[in-house]
Amino acid sequence: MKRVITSMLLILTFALTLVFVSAEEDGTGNLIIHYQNTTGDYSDVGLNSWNHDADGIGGVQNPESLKEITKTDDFGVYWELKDVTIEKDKSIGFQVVGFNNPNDSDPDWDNKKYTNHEISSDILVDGETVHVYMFYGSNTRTNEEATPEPIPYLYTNPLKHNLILTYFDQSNAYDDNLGLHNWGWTNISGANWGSPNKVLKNVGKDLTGTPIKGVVLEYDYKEGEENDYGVIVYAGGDNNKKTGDIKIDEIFAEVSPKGLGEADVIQVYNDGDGNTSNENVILNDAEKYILEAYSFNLVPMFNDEGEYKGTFAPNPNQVIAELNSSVMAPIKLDEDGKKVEITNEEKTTEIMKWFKVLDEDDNEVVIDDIHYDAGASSLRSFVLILGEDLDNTKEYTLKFDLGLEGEENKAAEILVDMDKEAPQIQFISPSSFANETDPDKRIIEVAWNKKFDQNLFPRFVVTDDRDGDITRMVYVPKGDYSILNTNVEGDYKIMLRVEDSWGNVTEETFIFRVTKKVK
Amino acid sequence: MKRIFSVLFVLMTALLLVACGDTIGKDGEIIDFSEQYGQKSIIRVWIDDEEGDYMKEIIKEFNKLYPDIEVEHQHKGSVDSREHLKTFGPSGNGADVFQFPHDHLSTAVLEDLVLPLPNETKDRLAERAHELGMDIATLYYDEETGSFDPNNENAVERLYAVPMSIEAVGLYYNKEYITTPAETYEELIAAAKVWNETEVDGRTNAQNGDYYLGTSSHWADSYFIQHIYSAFDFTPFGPELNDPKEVGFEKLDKALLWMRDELKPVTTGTGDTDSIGGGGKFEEGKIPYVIAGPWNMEAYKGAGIDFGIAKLPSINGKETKPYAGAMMAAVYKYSKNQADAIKFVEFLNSDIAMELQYEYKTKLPALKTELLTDNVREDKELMAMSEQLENAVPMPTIPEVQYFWGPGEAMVKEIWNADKDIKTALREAEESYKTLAGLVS
Repeated sequence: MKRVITSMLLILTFALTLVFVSAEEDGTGNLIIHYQNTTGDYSDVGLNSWNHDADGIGGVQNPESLKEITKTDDFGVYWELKDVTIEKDKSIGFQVVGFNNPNDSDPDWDNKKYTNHEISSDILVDGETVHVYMFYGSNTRTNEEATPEPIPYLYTNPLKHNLILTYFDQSNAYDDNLGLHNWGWTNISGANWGSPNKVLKNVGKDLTGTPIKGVVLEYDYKEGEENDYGVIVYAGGDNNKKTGDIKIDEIFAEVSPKGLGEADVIQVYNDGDGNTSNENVILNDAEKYILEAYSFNLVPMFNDEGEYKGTFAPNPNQVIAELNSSVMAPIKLDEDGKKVEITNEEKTTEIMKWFKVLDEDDNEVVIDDIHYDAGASSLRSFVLILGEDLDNTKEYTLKFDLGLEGEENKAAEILVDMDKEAPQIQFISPSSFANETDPDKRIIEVAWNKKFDQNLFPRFVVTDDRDGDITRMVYVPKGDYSILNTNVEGDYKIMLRVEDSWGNVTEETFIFRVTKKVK
Repeated sequence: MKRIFSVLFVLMTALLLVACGDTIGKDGEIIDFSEQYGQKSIIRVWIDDEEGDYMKEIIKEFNKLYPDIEVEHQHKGSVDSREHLKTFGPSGNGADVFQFPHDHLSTAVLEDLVLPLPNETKDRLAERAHELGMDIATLYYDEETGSFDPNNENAVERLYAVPMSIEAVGLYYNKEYITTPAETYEELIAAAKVWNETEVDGRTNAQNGDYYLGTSSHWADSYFIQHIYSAFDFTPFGPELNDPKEVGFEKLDKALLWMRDELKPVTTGTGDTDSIGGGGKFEEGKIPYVIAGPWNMEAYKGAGIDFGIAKLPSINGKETKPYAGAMMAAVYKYSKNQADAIKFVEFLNSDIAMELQYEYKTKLPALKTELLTDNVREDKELMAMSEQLENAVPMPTIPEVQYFWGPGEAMVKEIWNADKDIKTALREAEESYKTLAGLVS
């Protein structure tokens, strides 16, 4: 009897062990771990990973040892962990770390722990590939860091199409009500207008600690059919939209989305409130996004379908300054560090300190006033009203400096673009005028003692380097050169004058010769 | 000798007279070219017209009347205009005329961007513009305190913009299913019950989600369901839609009871307010009716739907009245060319400007019906909307309206989706509005 019982116990133990082991191991899956920083430079990047059995990756690995393994794509860099055994309740340790030299045995643990995670094995799917997206500054291992809360990685559903949406406000003036107006997605509920869906979480940060927000949106894409999925980033109203409609069918009108499981990445940066142009919405192009979202500069002047934008002087006593990313509007704190009301005058005084206009000899041009959107919490467009006129034969530099300490400060400078060219009057008729540069030789004979034939008035075209075709703006100034008397023979000089929006003036003259020779 | 000299003198004088008489003509003219080629003024207008074709024609016609006003058009979305004016307007780098939808008017006035139009302009427009358009563009406003309270004795009634086009939602029907559209909700609901239970390939239409009547938005969208509220004598902010202290949610009990007990069963069954994509279903040709707006027409035409637009049906014998919305053009308050800008916005109300707007934008001109041109009158869809507008109510334009939509939507969803007690939901909506609008201490 004893033997029977012992045997039965042994068999039972063995059976339970088998069950336990097979329950703990649930097949194998693949992980592709993507990483993006805010500089686009990954030359110092290495890894420290543990608790997985993927080939080729494990432990501390410096950039040199990873050079055949680290791959790049339109998001940043990535590493493939293949055939990872899925073990319940286990997590895979994964840190992206920086090395001061590519061959160093250890990273700079104190200063360059770029991401710090324990990836839950729950996200792994047997036989499938899950993509994980990590941003600089993300950290879920709070046992190590004194971070206030975890900043998670994002991961995709291998059985769906995935879209990662991120939003970054360089001024760190995130609205409390920021969220999405969204429709159609399979993993989040629809949101009605006026009630933003608060699904944007902190998923990373920039070098100053400003959060980057993000979310994964899942959908079922059907080639050749309507895919009614869309999203707007906003804080509850038309006037605080950060984007226009971002619709799947529109963004993938020319290219197809990536396959199941891999994410297309749409990255948005704050380009001002009420902005629906979607010029700040960038698909699958980290290089472009990093340049536009994270580096700080004054936008050079450019022509956008006939409208000048960027930084330039529209006329001699104004300079329009356009930053490529927003800065926080001035705030006022009391002794306890609490925000108190700030008047527009106080704001203006602070903002005026940010700007200097310097001539070639470094002399400051007086700034009398500055215009900006006084109601906005973050700013990027300003109009400087100068106390003296700029001389467009000289050069001036506009300098911007927030005046903060360290990494938090933002500074930039740019040569002020001025209109240095006067308009050009080009005569079309009579044909003799076309190439005639001596105004005294531009002569049109007019019949004496007859009514003036209006067809004799010369035709011309006026072009300006900034204002374009300003032919209609030509006028004849009243006075000595505006009168013709066909009753009296003689030469009558007539002046044409035109002025561009800067104030550059061009004058041309010609002569009506009243003569009896013309019948 | 004396005689010879006299004769010579007379001869020379005669010769002199003849010579002089030949040098000065009598049939010529003196021209001052500065009058003909005078200096022009320039106004900049921000109008939503990306290709610029519409504005090119508008400017051409405007210059026939005002050849000395140069109009510079820049395409600017109607939402962007206000934001840009705040920064660039005061320095003269903004626009003299800008465009925006009706619900931006009060905010634009509060932001000190809009010039009240002169009484002469108001009088001229009153003779031509659609009454609803004029209502929407007119505000009682106290410039000193920034108050829109009509009870404020310092508030002055002024016209702040020129309505360019007007619109309202309507009952769109698929002519493949409907020959004569329903005139009452009772009739529609009765037909819906039959349709919804009709089987197609072994499943009922309801089971397939193809409910008889859909909405191109969702059933908690206060803009779309205002027509239902109106049949129960409700308008937000009082009968004049302008009293921020009278949002009036608590008066909606009967309307919401009707929506829950009569409308919900035949439109979403047990589903939520947004559980059925009515717009998509109508566009696919699967359902007979949808409540939609003129902005949906292009999609329906593109999908090949042979549709008509009918007046929204009555409820319990009472007319239903949707909101009327408008796109409007205003003069920037600190424009340096106010007089010329006023001429331009007035011109936008002219016959030719309205005809061009119809031709290029297919929008219903904000004109009195009798002034609509033959082209517009022959447009069945727009004329159906025009007929609907005869009993529409102007959208509220006071700034507090921005706090109405959220609580209004939440209120319907609580009742429709979560079966909340109606009175409780109404009270909560009222409280929520007051909190958002800063009407509680």
